[in-house]
Amino acid sequence: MKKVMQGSHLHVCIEEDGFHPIQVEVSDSIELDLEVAENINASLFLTYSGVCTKGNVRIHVGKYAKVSILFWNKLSQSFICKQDICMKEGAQATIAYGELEDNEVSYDIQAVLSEQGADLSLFSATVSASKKHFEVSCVHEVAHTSSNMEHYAVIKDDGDYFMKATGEVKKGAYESSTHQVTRVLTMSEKQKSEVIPLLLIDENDVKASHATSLGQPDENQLYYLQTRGLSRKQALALLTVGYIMPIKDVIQQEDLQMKLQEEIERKVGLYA
Amino acid sequence: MIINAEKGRVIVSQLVIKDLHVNVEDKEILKGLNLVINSNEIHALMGPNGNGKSTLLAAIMGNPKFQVTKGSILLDGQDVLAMEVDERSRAGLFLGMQYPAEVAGVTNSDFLRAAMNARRDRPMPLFTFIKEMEQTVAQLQMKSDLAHRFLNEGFSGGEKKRNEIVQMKLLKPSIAMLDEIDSGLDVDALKIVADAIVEMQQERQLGLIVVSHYERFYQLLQPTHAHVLVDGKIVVSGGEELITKIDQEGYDWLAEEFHIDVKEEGRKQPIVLGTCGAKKGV
Repeated sequence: MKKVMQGSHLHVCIEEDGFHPIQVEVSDSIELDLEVAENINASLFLTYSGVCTKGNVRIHVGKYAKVSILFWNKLSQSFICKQDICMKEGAQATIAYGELEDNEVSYDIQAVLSEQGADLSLFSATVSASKKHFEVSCVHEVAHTSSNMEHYAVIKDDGDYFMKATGEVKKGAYESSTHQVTRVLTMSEKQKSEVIPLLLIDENDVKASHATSLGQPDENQLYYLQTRGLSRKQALALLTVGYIMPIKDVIQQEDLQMKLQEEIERKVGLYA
Repeated sequence: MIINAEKGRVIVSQLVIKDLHVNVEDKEILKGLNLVINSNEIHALMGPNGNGKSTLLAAIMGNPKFQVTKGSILLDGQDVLAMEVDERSRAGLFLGMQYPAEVAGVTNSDFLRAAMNARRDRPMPLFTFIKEMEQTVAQLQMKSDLAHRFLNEGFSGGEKKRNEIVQMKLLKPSIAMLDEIDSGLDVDALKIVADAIVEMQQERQLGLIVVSHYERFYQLLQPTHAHVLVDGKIVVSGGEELITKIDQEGYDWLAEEFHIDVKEEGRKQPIVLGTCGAKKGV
């Protein structure tokens, strides 16, 4: 892995297979270019920490590369981030966003599947009592491309969640597929959550779907969990874990998965 | 611990239900029910459908849909009605449900580990938990992937019931209530579940209330007591002979011997709708 930092500009180039943890300690703003070379099979765990308030991130996944990237937000201040993802021929990428901190976040993520065979999965897992806004779009420019988006959020107290997820298939991008699921669990009467699923399809031979659920925890489920000795708070925490925990599996590293599991359980108050 | 001076034996746990009245949506279902369950006793609770058996178990466990309007429930002298649902569980009560909830996203192992840790001051070591869970899953002859499956989601009827017994074994209650836990089980599974219950009952002197409509299940469990619940009250109590009689004769004899009006939910008179409209034009 090549990592070059010049001022607030970080350029990372993944040229080797395997697992690459990257910690980005920044102040004020960050410009990040993340390049995954052709034919590379790698996974990245990228942690933001510090007091960064603004980010511009460009991800370039080279031809036939296979990569999993997990962005883990540990920032202490509000963060506005623009991300551009470019997927080349035959590239496969899973890109995930872990948002467990209570800092305000606005993401504007645009992925372009610009060459045939590109396959992108985008996941986000959010637990928050503050503002978390996402605008995510996957644009299919050519044929035989696929995208899948899965967004899970648990919104507490005064939380403000917004998710606009767009799957766009342009004319000529036949035999492409775009799917999306957003599930939001609302834990408070004061919270505000809004989900806008969009499919913009300009081609006939396409597979596309969207599914959204937004609501309070199921009282029957809570009762069942409580009959086994969990307090209501623990039962709610367990339901939260159910929404959030799958993100730990994006990176196939047992140590990291254990660490993230502990962090998630602690964060949601399962073993307070 | 309570000592029964009359019989001179130690009772590890005791559940005492006195004059229990329970409403569901303002309709009175239980109308003054009395019952005492001690450790090491198996009480078979029988009766026609819709007479209050499941209501009794749900009210003991604290289901918020059931309102106790009168009476008391004491577990080892503690007021159960003053406890939250989770407190009742941690105090030693367990309800194996007829229709357990499905919880997508929460794996069996995460759920069970959390439930077991809720009973402990310090979290159970992961390895100890895995070993204990694997042993119990194997005893119930369930697939080894049970731990990683979402709680009850996509389970067959039989798997859900076996999973309830897995939970009972791991949570180690002092008084367990099983609500038609035998429904949905095939003959082999019925034997496996019954063996697991009997083993636990003998090992831990578990007190049990078992609701079932089938003598076969009771034969395997060998209840020490049997009760018939009609119209919100226990009208007859006895031993195994009562189970055999009901299996052979149903509940109609109660009307003759005890002058009890036996009503069964769903046993309704046919309603005449009148002449078929389609024939009118012929």
